[in-house]
Amino acid sequence: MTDTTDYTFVCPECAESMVVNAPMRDALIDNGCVICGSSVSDQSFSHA
Amino acid sequence: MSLDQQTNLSFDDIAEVLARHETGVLSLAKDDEPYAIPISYGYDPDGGQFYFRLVSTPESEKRQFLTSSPRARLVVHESNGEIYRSVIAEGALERVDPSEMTVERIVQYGEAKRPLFEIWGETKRDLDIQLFELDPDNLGGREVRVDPEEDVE
Repeated sequence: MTDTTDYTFVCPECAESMVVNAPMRDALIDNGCVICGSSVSDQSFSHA
Repeated sequence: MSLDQQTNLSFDDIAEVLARHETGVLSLAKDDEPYAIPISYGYDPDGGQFYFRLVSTPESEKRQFLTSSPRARLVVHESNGEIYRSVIAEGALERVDPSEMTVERIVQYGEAKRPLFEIWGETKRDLDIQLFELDPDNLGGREVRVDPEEDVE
């Protein structure tokens, strides 16, 4: 079943904030913050 | 030094040069005023697009050249003393709105290295980092082989 939950991402380094879906959350954890490149953990996300 | 052979690079050769490097020189212009900066890039050979992070401040010179979709040219080059290669990409530099983020973009920006950030004194929180993409309408490469022995007279 597809996870349709939206999450609010806040980068701990650059403070960029955006609403993302589950695949984007996983991509951010794997690739780092898309804005500043800093490492991202699942603690950077909260339910939108 | 003589130019023994000059050839155009194939698409695959261009992709290999771009994959070997992660920085180039990005040139912009406003009227007759040029502006060129060293920049880190990511390149997607499948989509043919370049990905950049540009850091600027409201007062910075760079900001003045980043008006709506400016024309830009990226130059990446390498040499080993006998073979010189250069790749030039030219097109419109489009800003990426974070609200238009996709999984594919997150992956591509993850591959865009960022060593030039290290020269900044401010923390990332204090920097204005903007994302840009370049979908070149011209992409070409050239290789020149020289005979260094012919330097000696």
